[in-house]
Amino acid sequence: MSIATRRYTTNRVAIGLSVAAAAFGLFFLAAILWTLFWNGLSAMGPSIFLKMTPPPGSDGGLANAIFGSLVMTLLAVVIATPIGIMAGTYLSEYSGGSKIGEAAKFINDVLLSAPSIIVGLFIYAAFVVPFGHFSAWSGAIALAVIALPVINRTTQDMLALVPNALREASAALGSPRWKTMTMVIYRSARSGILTGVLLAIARVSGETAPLLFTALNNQYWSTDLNAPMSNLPVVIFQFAMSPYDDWQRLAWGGALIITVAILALNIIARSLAGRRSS
Amino acid sequence: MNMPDAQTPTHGFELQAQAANFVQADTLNPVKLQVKDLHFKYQNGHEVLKGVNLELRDKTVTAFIGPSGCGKSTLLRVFNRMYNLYPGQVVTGEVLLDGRNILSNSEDLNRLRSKVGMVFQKPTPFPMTIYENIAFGIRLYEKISKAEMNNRVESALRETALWDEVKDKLHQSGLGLSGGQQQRLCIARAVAVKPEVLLLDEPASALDPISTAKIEDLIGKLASDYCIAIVTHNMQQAARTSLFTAFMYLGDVIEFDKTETIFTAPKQQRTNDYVTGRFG
Repeated sequence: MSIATRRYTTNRVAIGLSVAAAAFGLFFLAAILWTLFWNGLSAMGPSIFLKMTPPPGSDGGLANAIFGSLVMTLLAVVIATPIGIMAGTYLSEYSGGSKIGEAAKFINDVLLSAPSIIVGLFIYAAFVVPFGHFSAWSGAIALAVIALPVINRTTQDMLALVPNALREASAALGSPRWKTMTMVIYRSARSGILTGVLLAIARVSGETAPLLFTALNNQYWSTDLNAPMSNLPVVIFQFAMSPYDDWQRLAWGGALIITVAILALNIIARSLAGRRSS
Repeated sequence: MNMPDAQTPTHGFELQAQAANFVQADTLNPVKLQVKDLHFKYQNGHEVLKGVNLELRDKTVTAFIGPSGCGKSTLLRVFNRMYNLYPGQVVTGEVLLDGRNILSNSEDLNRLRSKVGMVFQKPTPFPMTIYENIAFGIRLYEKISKAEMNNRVESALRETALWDEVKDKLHQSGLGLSGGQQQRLCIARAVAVKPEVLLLDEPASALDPISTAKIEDLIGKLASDYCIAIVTHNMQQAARTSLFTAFMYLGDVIEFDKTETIFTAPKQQRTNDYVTGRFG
């Protein structure tokens, strides 16, 4: 066999294996989506968005759970975004290789991969036990703790991508450092940081474990942030484990809603990141 | 007239005496920036500048040539104290801008940099519109009306021969321009704040020949208004654009003289070798 033929064959085999591996991974993704749509679409309809979670055997929807998830995710993002961006800015631009900066970066990376159930237990001990009751606030804080390291890390990475030449060019005009940061560097990293925030939202909107210990659940419509609040992940968890057909159908519907929402967020984040590079 | 070499560092007054000889030959502009026994080293002890003495005249182009690592870019970055952005550097000696030592600790660096503008090797437009790229620097130190700002932006773009090319897209991103246009935008941005000195660190080395020619034309035009220092690897460029040239080697100014003298009758053997392409 000539060298050329051998290389040609090796090439074909390697590409064949790679395609097979990609197809293997994509097959499960497609299977999950197909199952979700197949089972979830039958639960779709106006009532799922308008009616409250029902007792078994009666008509209902997921309105309170959808509302609760939106409220707590929004609160979590409002809490985590400014802290995450400021922390990321400090660690990337100002800590300058100092010991405390390096330690903070390392701890943030550990937090990034911390199991969410640990975060839930921590907030349970820190907020739920002292106040004596489950609440939407503690749920939002638990979600914020999960979103924070994601936003922090993305901010660091995106600021590190901004070339130093831009910082020097701004300084060369006599611009003070804070103005260079706010007017030039953030502007340059803006879509990247925004992508990080969107990915953090996508990450927390499907979290179940931290909410089990904090916001718990609520059968009724509740807007009181100091009371337990319903939310999609916990409702899905509860309804899917139940023996009742109508509850299981609602769980499928909720799963579909979350998945589509996360998919949409990821697509938006991708298109933002793509626009940055072009 | 002997210029200093590595072994016998000259002091400012000697240079001034030599400069006095020039004045008799033809009229020269007054000294704008004077460098006296300037040493620059990193904290690890590596010395990049080993006692530099020279002077830049107002409304005159001075070129810095020499092989890579000779310290010419470092010297430029001392003139606006750009090195202060990074820790761990020790600078001694004096750099006098209109007689005032800009190396003193009390120097307001932002103010200094608004007076000593700089353009870098790679074009660095800010991620904003062409108009905002220029208005950004002006706004830092001046509060002016919208109409006045429009005038300032237009005159900066006209000064850099960019106006006709961009007047219809002032409010589009500066990142959409070609490399040569981006670099002229950076020069426009630097002159818009009305600096006194303009530092050009290899401003054309990332550009194609046509853009390079445009930049050189521009330097010729700007020379009547600013004290310009240009670092270049291109000796023809130094010869074409400057009135004075400093040849640097390993942290020393080997020879500093009229550009014509440096390229036609250098006093030092090493200068001769470099400009004729025998080393470097």
